[in-house]
Amino acid sequence: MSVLVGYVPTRYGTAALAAAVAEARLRSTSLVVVNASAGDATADPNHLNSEQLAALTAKLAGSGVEHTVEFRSGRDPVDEIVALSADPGVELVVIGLRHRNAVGKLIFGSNAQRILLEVERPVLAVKPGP
Amino acid sequence: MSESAPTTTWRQQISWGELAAALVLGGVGVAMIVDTRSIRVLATANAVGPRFFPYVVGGAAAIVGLWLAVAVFRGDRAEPEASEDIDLEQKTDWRTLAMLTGAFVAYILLITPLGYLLSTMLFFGGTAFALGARRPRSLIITTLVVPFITFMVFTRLLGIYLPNGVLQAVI
Amino acid sequence: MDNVGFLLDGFATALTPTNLMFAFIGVLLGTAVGVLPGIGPAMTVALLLPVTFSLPPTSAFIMFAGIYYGGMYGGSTTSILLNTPGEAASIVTALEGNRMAKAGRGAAALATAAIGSFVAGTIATIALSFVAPQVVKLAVALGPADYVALMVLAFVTVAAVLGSSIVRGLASLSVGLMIGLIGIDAQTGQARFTLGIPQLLDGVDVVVVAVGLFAVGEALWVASRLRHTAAELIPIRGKGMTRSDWQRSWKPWLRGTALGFPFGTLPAGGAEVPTFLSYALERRLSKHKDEFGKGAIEGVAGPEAANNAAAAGVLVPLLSLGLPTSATAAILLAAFQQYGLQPGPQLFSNNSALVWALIASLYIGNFMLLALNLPLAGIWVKLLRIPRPYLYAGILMFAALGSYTVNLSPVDLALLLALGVLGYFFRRYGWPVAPAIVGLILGPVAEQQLRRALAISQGDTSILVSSAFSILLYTATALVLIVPLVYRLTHRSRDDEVRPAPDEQGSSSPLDDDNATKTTELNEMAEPGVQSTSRSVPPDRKDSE
Repeated sequence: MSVLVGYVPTRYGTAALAAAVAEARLRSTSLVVVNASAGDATADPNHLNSEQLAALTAKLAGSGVEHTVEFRSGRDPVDEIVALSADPGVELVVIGLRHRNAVGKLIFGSNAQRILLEVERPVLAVKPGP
Repeated sequence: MSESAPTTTWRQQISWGELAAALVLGGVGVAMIVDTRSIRVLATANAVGPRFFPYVVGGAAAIVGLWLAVAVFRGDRAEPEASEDIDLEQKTDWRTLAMLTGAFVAYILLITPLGYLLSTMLFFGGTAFALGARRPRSLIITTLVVPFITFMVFTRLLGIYLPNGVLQAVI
Repeated sequence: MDNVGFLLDGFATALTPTNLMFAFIGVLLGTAVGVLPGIGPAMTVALLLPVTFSLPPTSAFIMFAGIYYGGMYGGSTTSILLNTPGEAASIVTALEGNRMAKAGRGAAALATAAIGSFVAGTIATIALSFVAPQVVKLAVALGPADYVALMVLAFVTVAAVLGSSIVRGLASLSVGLMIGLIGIDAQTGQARFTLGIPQLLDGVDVVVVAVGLFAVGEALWVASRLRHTAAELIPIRGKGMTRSDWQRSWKPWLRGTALGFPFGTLPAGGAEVPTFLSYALERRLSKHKDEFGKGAIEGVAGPEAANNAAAAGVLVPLLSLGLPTSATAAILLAAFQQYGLQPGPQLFSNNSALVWALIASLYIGNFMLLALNLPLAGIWVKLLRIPRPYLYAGILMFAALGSYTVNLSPVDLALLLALGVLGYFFRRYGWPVAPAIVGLILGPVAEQQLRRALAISQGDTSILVSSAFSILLYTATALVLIVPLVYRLTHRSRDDEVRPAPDEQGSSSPLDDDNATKTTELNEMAEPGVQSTSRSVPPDRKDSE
């Protein structure tokens, strides 16, 4: 059994990660960290560079939770998370929630909304602290 | 031409496509030489006429084509061009190429009847889709906005005329 | 020294608000296309050629020159911060620049590149201001036969030095020459190779060919092997250049300029050779040799300066002789032709205001570029976030627009597609594109000069080799062809294996013996983004349904 968290190197991702670690500890399960990039641009800020990867690895090592890090590229990140969450071993999906106003949602859409609706597991949407 | 024992036969290492291209080049060169003879030369004795340079160029193309064909046949290969957006490990994605070409052909056929703005929107959307843009929201918005802005900038700001077919009266 | 007077007049023209605006647009566009993969300054100028119908020539050329220089600056930003640089001349900057960025000294690398480019660009432009008129004085003594020899040399060097395979360069050149022959012969009014299609009577438009081979060809090629991962973008760290950085940089800047400018002026194929040479030189002279390969600032300072100086150098034969020695120069020549201007001695005497305004705006452009690139590098790289589908769709859209506006005819679009397919095959088989462009644009000019020469001599071909100058040039041409071939043959007989795989002919460029180390490093850099650890990529990576 595992907790799945979608991670990007932003404060939303960091908040989600912290919550996911806490959940994994609570449930005594392992943690699966997913960094998915659409891979459709030459540079993608959500894609971890070596510096960020090192920081992530260090943080996870210190968490005391059994974990794996998965990288995915080439697909829409939401589809990726939905696909990974279909694994019966996944008991919880954790994502960071970012507030978008109505116009923003119209133009950019809402990844969080799609995940909430499409994933068949319980979803924990985390907001970063003030 | 490999001296060190090859495990794959050297025939597999020849780039047949490039060999064909080289032969085409040579062939076109020869065709050029042949076609040059049908260019009428005016009767001025001194000046070098319109045939001279085509003979030279056609001849050069034929020679180079042959030289290249021989080189390719002997296994010579050049690096395909690399770029940040290319993954050379992949095999050619014929589907995407076909879609792109299709979009282009449609554009060629539709640009006059439909006018610039509409046909360009179709073209832009089609090519973006072919290249992998799948999120419907972004796709629709960009397809509507980018060609429109381009059209406005070029016709209004730069004063270049772009016939607009069906929308001619409107925009 | 009335040249200084001309130059000052040029400044007066270049400093008008309109022309300043065009210079600014040019450098802005140039930096943007330098950063972005898939487009470059040559293609951008080609795309803008039709637009110039509504612009006065001075403003148009000021903008083009801005694009030209800007492309260089943008290219260095990407090569330092991105793991996989695109342009050949930037690969050298990436060798050390990349390592510096990874080591947390990206800001210093960017600074030395930008400042070095500025220093080199300014000094080289000064040199240009003095050398070009001198060349013009010499050029007046040249006759058509000498021009023919010059062009033959230009053709051969562009084909032989750019790219790694001489025969493919020549193949590309002959394609360009052949396309250039289509149309009505200017001197006799005979239609040539028009295949019965009336639209071809005017020849194939330069814009369509350039844009087709560059833009559409590139788009098709990228589409065929689209990368589905992002490349690693190294964050900019560090505080900029320290005192020791400055001390280590200023001499390489000057040496790089000294190397770059002369090479740029020669028909030796542009910026690649001097940047490699500069790197090798800096490595040899450096007191910090062990840092090379790990982020030595000299390795960025020198080559960047050489790159920019060479770019200015290329303008010397272009403006004073009408001889383009790179693809971008060829397109600039085409721009001159569109306006009915002939670069060379006539340009300096009849249109001296234009030329000097152009040169003056180069100085201004350099200042603008320094201001744009030094503080704003981080913003420029954000351009790389544009998703590839939209980027290339946009490129294709502009390509089609540029071709369509020539005649408002879908036939040109069909030609564009055909040339795009041709461009695709060029890239697939490793045929360089630049010789085709040079052949296309310079071919008709060469033919004209050839016929003029032979008309003067009444058909006696010996006139082509009658002057010392032309003999000299033909010898040089022969050397350019023969030396690399001999080199390769002798080297091949030394190592026993003949490998048909991706050739190492990159190392056969007439350089020093540091080739072995350099090639391995270059191969490392040229490898499309080898990413970091723990990659688990799903099997259906390529499909994006």
